[in-house]
Amino acid sequence: MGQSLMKLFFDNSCQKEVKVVMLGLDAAGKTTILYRLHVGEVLSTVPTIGFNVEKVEHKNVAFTVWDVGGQDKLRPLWRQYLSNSEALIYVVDSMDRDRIGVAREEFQAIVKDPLMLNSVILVLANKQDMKGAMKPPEVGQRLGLYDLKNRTSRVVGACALTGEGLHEGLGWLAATLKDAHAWGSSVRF
Amino acid sequence: MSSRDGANSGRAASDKMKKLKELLHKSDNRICADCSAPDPKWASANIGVFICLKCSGVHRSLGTHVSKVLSVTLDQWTDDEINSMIEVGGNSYANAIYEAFLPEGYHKPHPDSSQEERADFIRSKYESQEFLKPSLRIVSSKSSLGTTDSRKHMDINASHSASFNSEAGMVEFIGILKVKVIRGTKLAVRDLISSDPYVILALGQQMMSVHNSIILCRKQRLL
Repeated sequence: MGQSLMKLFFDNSCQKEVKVVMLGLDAAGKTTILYRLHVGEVLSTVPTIGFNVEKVEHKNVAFTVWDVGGQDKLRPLWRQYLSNSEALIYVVDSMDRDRIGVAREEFQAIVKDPLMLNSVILVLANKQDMKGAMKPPEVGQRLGLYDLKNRTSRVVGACALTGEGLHEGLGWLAATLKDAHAWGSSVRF
Repeated sequence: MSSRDGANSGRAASDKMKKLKELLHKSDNRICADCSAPDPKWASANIGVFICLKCSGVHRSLGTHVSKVLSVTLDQWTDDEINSMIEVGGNSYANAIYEAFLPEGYHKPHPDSSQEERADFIRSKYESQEFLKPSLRIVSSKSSLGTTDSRKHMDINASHSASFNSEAGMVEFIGILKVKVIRGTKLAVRDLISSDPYVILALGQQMMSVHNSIILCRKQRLL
């Protein structure tokens, strides 16, 4: 009872701010997703050399989303963006079967990084509009998501062009992180 | 073996990268294959062109089955990817194919073109392959115009029989011709909706297309 009252109080009284890092191989669709969420439109993007950062509000949670370039030689820089991230959004090009193995290696390295051990994991299986795209469960399985122990994670099928799955994913993140706050876990305000 | 595997291949990989950079420094590769912007540092490894950052954004939006975009400076290249660039031979060779039938007076995008103009051109050039030599085109059967074009080409010897428009007429049966498709090379890169290569066989007025019977040959090069 006390806890649910607390939750009610937190839900209604203060907007939470959460830092989220969005990673994934180059051309997975990270920047398109970021701006789709931020301005609600599909912008034409160029490869990100460096990062983009925007605030996205969803269900009373203010996400500060860091979208970091995914080119080979930029990936070692990902670690610099991990500290204080409460959630990881990992974006996968569901059409790119050739590189799903590489996507898995990078994913496993990030989720096992000491800085990310407490973070919530949302995998966006992007480009679901394309014929022959891997379905979300297959993407989760190929990334080794289901073998992770004691992690809060979810895979959602998405399409940055139509916006499909993006709000579902953020909604899940918002609810999960709110629960974590209300239960007084390590997540800070 | 890809250059990503093993430390021993490190040296071989850097030799390969040297070759790629040599190719990049050839005069025709000093400008973007699509918009002529100077000093392109990106490439489409499967198409074999060097392109600028802005055009690489459009290429990426087509999907990796159409264009596999890599940075010359920020990506690890596999030997296969480098070989395929070398095999094509650079922008002028690739454009001789992809822009072979560019309509007269057509204005290609320039370095300051809007992203929309750029996207329209790049889609026409590589996705629907509108400027390609007709014989190299593989067109989706869903595009009726394209199908007519390729039929005209494939069925060129049968064009004299076009006066026999009615297919209901009697056709003398002289036997069965069995054709087995074994291998496809030098395929144009892809079609729009489905990505299965197929073969159209034409003999006189008879024609059939063989679908779904060929293993994906995407890696077979165009040239």
